[in-house]
Amino acid sequence: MRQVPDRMVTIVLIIAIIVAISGFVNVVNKVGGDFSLITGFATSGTGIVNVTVDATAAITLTNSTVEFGNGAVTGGAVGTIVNTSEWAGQPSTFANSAPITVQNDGNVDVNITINGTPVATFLNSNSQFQWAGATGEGGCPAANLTTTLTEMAAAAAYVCTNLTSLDSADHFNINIQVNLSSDLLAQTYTADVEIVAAQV
Amino acid sequence: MKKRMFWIGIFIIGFVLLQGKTSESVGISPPRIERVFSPNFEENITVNIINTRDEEVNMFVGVDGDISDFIGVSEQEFKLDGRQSKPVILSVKLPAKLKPGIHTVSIIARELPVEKKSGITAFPSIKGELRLAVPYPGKFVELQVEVQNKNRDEPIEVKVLASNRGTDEVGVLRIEARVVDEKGKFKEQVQTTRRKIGAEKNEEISILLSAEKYDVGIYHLFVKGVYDGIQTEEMERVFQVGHLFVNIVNVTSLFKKDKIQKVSIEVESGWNNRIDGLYAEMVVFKEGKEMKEAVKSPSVSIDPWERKIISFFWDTSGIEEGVYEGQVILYYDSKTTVKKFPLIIEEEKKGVNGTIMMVILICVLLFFDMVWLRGVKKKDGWEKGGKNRTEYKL
Repeated sequence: MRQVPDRMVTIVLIIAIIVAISGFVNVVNKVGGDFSLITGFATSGTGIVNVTVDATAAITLTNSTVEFGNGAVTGGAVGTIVNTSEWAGQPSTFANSAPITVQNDGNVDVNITINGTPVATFLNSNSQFQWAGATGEGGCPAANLTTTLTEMAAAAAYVCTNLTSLDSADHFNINIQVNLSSDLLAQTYTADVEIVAAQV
Repeated sequence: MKKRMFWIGIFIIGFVLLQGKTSESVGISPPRIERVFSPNFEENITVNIINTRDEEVNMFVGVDGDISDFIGVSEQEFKLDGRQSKPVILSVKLPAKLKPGIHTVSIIARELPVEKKSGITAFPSIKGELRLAVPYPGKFVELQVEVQNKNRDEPIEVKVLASNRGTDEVGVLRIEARVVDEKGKFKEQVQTTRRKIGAEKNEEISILLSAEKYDVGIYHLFVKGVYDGIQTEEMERVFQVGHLFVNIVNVTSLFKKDKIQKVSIEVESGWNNRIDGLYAEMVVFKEGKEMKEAVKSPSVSIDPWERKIISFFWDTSGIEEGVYEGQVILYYDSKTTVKKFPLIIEEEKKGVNGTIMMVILICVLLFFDMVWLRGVKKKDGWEKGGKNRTEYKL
C-alpha cells in the first residue's frame, strides 16, 4: 500500500482549519458581526407571541336525512305513526331512522331554531309532521330544550337555547314524527327542514 | 374479471347502505358585529363563511332586517371547498338619520342542496348579526342580566350590565331584582344603591341573593332599572338550584326473546357539578324471584344538568315471553337512584331484514357473474378447439 507523506497530511489539516475558521467568521458576520455574541443567542430578553382567536358560530348536522322507507298506512282516523324516537319500533314495513343530530362546531354558545315544509304541503292536512328535541349527548341544558312534539311550520321555532360549544357535550338530537293519514295517496313524499343557529 | 365483478357488487351495496347517514355544516366568523351609528357612516366589514365538512358545498349569503337596504353583500352564491373559509364583504352605507335604538341585521349563511334527496332532509343555516346602536336623544338605559345555576347553599350572584344608550348622563340609577319560584311564590327582593352612568357608557352591577332562601328547584328572576322617574324594560331570567341526584328518565322496556339486545337508560343530572363513575345495574324479577344475574353498564361521567343515555347489552336467553318486573339502580358518589318498570319479553317477528337482503343480493350477483364467466369460457373454447377453427401460418 502506498503511504501518504506526513507533509501532505499537515497541508490538508491546515486547509481544513482555514476553511472551518473562515466559515465560522462568515456565519458570525452574517448574524450580526459581533464576535462577542454566540450564534442562536437571543439579543432580546423576552419573546412575545400574540394569537387572537376570533369567535365562530358553526353547526354540523351529523345526521341530516330522515328516511323511513316504505310501508302501508292503516285505515281509520288515527293514522300510522312513524318516528325517530329510540324507544319505539315502526309499524308495517317502515324502517327505523336516526334522529337529526345538531352539533355545535364553533367556539360560542348558540340558539337553535327549526322550520320546514308545513304538513299540508309535505303530506296532506289530515296528517301530522312534528318535531321534538331530545337530549342526545346532552349539549342542550334540559330546561332550555323543547321536548314536546311540535308541528313543523314555515316560521322558525326554538328547539334549544344555549347549545354549548364544549366538545364533551356539544350536540343534541331532534326527533321527527310523522302521522300518516289513511287517505294519503301511494307515492314518495319529501320535505325540507332548516336548522338555524345564532350566537346567544 | 370475476374478482372485478365481485368488488363492483360490494361497492354498489356499500354505497346504498352508506347513503342513509349524511352530514351538512356551515359556520360564520365573527358571528356578531357591533357598531355605533354616526350620520352617513360607511364601512366595509369582512365576515368569513366556513365549510367545516370535507366536501365542497354551495353556499348562499344574504342579509335581512329593518336596515338591510343599506347593506350590500359582495358575493351571494359561491362554491366553497372542504375545510375552507371565504371572506365576504358587507358594504355598509348608512343614511344621515336613523330611528334611535338597536337595529339588528341578520347575516344568513345557508348551505344550498346539491341535489334533491328522498325522505326528510335537514339543512343547516347560520345567522350572524350586525348590531347598530343609534343613540337616543336624552337618557335611555338598557339592561343585560346574567345568573348561573347553583347547588343548594352556594352563593347566587346576579350580574347586571346597565348601558346608557342616550346622549345625556343618567344621574341616579337603581336596580331592583325580584325572585319567585316555579309556582309564582315570592322568594326575595333586592335593591342596589344609586349610581351614575355617563352618556353612551356601561356599568357592571353585582347583586348577591340569599342562598339560604333557595331550596332545590327552578326560579324566575325579574330585574328592572329605575332612573329619573323612568323604568327600564323588566328582564326575566331562569336559574336552577340543584342537589346531588341523578334521575332515571326512560328505560328500554321491550325485548325480544333469546337475543342479545341493547339496553338504553336515559338519565338526567340534578347537580351543578360533574359526576364521575356513574353506572347502572339492571335486574329482572318474576313474582319477587330474580330471573337472571344482574347486568351492569360501564362507568360514565355526567356533566352538570346533563341528560344522557347509558347503554349496555343484555342477553334474554332462558327467559320466557311475558311481563316481568324490571329494576334499574344507578350508582354515583355513594348514592343510588332506583326505578322499577314493567319489562316485556316477546317473540321476535320473522321478517326479511337488511342483512338477509344483502346476502341474497351478493348471491344473485355472484350467480350472474358465474353464468357470464361460463359463457365467456365456452365461447373461448369453441373458438380455440372447435371444428371451424382457422389456423394461420405466416
